[in-house]
Amino acid sequence: MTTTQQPQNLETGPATTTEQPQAAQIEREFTIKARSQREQIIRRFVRNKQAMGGFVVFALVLLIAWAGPLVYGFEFAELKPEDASVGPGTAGHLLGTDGLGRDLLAQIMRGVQRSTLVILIAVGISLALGLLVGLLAGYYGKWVDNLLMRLVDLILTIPTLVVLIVVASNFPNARTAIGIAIIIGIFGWLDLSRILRSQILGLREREFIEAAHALGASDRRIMFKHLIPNMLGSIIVWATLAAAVTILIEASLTYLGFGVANDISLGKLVADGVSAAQTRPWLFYFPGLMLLLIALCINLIGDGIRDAFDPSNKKVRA
Amino acid sequence: MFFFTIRRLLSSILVLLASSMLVFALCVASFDPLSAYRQRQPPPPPQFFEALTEQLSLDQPFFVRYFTWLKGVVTLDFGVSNAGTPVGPVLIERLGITARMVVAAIVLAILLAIVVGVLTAVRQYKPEDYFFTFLTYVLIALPTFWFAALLKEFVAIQFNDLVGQRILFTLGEQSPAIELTGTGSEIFWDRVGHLVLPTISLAMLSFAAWSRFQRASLLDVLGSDYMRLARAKGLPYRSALLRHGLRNALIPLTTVVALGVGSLLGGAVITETVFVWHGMGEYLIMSINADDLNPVLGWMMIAAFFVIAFNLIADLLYAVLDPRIRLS
Amino acid sequence: MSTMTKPAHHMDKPSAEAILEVDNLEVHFPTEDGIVRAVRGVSYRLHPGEVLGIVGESGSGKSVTSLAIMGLLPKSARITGSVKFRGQELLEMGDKDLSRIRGKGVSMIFQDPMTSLDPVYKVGYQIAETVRQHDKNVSGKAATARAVDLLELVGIPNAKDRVTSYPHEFSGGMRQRVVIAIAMANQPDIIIADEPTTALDVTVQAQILEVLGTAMEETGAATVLITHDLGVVAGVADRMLVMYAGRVVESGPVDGVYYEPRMPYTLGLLGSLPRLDQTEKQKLTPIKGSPPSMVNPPPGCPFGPRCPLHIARCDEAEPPLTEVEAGHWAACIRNEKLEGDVQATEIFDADSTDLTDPVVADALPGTDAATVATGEDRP
Repeated sequence: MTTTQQPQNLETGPATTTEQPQAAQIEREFTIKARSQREQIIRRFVRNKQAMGGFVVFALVLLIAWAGPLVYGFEFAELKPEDASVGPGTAGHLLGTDGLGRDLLAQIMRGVQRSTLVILIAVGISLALGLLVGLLAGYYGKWVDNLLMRLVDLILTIPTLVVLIVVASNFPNARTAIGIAIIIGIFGWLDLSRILRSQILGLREREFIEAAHALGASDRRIMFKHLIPNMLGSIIVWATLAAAVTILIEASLTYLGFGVANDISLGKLVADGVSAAQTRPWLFYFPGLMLLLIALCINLIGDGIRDAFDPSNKKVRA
Repeated sequence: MFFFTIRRLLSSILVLLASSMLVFALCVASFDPLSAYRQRQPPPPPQFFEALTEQLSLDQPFFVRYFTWLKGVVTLDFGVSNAGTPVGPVLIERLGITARMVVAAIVLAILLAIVVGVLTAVRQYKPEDYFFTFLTYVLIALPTFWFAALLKEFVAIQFNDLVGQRILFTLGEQSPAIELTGTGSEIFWDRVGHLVLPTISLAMLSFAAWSRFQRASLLDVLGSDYMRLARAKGLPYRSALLRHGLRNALIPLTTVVALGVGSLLGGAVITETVFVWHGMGEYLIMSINADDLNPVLGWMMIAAFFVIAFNLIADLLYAVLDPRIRLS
Repeated sequence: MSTMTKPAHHMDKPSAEAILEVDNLEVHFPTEDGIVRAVRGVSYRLHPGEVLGIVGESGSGKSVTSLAIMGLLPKSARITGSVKFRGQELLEMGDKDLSRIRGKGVSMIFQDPMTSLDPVYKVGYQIAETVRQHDKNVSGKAATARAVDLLELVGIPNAKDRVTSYPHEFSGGMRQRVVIAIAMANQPDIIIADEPTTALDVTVQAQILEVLGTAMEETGAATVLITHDLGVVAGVADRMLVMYAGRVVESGPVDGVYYEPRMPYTLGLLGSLPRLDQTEKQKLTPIKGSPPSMVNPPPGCPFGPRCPLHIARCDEAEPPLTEVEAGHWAACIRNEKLEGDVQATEIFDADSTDLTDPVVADALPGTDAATVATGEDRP
């Protein structure tokens, strides 16, 4: 009987160990092929039709938005007063033009590009802040936890949209996509910190954290090597849902007059389109539907990831 | 239970206090009541600004200003706006208007969420489940103002044409000056006509989120041991579902609804803008654009008050519904 | 072990008329990995007043069998075969008809008392509920009075006061007593106890078994006791079934199966029990390997890969249950090797379990790479 000193890396499952002859005899066809955890998660996601559908469509949209302008005839900033306010399909403008003769499809593609940037910046900032606060509160507990969570509760007593409006009104020069993204990011971490904090409170009690402590691992190491990897599921799910919320908030802010002004974003196109709803419906519908489509896909992907990490949601009930 | 209530009440008041300080700090940092004058051409003389600054106590230290304002708020005196009109009465009046929409939206959203949540949970993976799940996904991805605009610009007109009569209104919360010309009943129905579309737009996002939550909550309960025991005792499926399933599954919804008040208030601002209601939302946007400090302060305090109050109600309700909380 | 004595009437010969007839019961579950055949042809008879013990590992199908009888499996389950209660075919009945039988003809006790009771209703209400469900004429007051009586019967002190308590005010053992009270409320003909003591402390286990005995005495019900604890079965049951991989592999009177098991799995199980009454030191004989996956059972005896008596012929077909003694059946083509007093240590190799065996290692908990503290954690 062989004995091993190191804990085995069992991530890849028994399919790769072949030492003992009894192993082969017992294995036969009786056991289902063991898979690594990451493989299992990806496999579950790929099998989820809605999630994969969302993923594919989203990827297509991004592809069109970034590669489209290279092949499309019009530029987003190109003014063609002679073609102003024409409907879809006229004079080569696939989706029509606005009051200044700018091609709608070109603008939408540009808008999606900018909105993608908004998502990355806002979610990035919120992620960093949320991780910081959540880790501190969950790991150190007691008064740190109390203080931080009370602060979070306090900020949440004011409707987020209103806070954003007030803060945005302070910076009239920051009415670009990036500026708004930063503002959204600074206030978007509240629910993430709560989620992470409660997860950490649970993980803290598990033996492997105690073991790492006993080995003398530093706090930082425990946080980065042990805690965060175990919370990856929640973080990724949160990030996707936060992405969807971000573009919706950006659109609402812009509609109310406090969002993007000196730039193009998908939200701005939608907001501007509202006033043209009756007279030039294409300016209303296409940006709106595109925003809806993107948010929908992101939500489907987020839910798919959540189900992939925790399939217990899909159990059929008696 | 009594002491539980008292403790939560005191805690809520403290939170409200802390919130007021946060609100005050945020607003004072953001709004300069004199900004309108600064932009005048030619600009007024320095003595003008000095006089106004003293009059509005803008040079006092932060805490002095805070306490002065707080004293007023406690006695429901929200000060005056830049134009000199008392903020309090305006807030109250507009609150009444907005409340109609918000309350109607909450009720609608809760009812629909329970019905759809239960339906999709009980009929999991059947066509009804897929249909409503798809619907809720779409509603969650919809920008509120766009959906509201859709209803306003297209649905209202089509509907009115279909029925042949102007039933659904899209501008304002009532027809102008109807109090002067209409009977009580006419005023009521006029207001209802104006209420329908805004309520639907405001309610849809909450309904979608709450119904998915309710579905998950009920699915959890349906798989529980006590449901199985209830059926093993001889209760037919429907009795077990209603008496044991629903009773347990509705408890978490109270918390979710209470926590959603904040986002509903935000949504109300948007909806009022689309449908041009003269309620709290319009007042807020107006005041922010005019750098009007006191109205915004008043608005935020009222919003914070309602958010905290609803949280308190949710906590108490939870204790009433779940004996485990009550007796601990 | 149990300190329960069997109620007197169990010494009588059980009547020939079977109250429950299970024939060729099969249960399949569709899953994303394939169809799980949880129960693959179980048959048995239960007679009035009799105690039948069903023993097996997790995944052997013993709980699923009982849930199928009660009609409490998820709708996705495919059930075939026949289950007759007093001659009525249960598998054809709809929920409405079945619910008339549940709680009155056949009652069930579940494993985890902490989650079996509804947390938002009082205990008395939950007992009264089953009484009033089966007799609409009983008033609320009368039902509550009956609940008090039942609570006293199951040994809850201060029954009159406790009847208005909520489940979370009781300990696990007390909650299980309440569950037993609910099960016996309507004088059922059959009580199915699915691992009633597994979730409880050892000291409480004995008490609950006593309460169960009281229930059987009061109601005269036949009992199906499902457990993985062989000791419990020894003290309580008249007959027993041993289940493995969804089938019955041995059945017979308790004494017969215990003293002369004729299926290697049963022998292995008995050999893996520590015994206080042995005078000489004996090694325990763990059974190598793990139970097979129920998705694609290969032909042949499912216990084959783990069986020390395994020969090539074992893999050709699943051994049928054959009667090895009167009323004692075993599913092994080499059962005669176990005739007489054969010790587990003679057949199973006590030294040979290899813990680095990947199949065994796979069964150990905490094998996520993300949750293993490694040497690198040392500063």
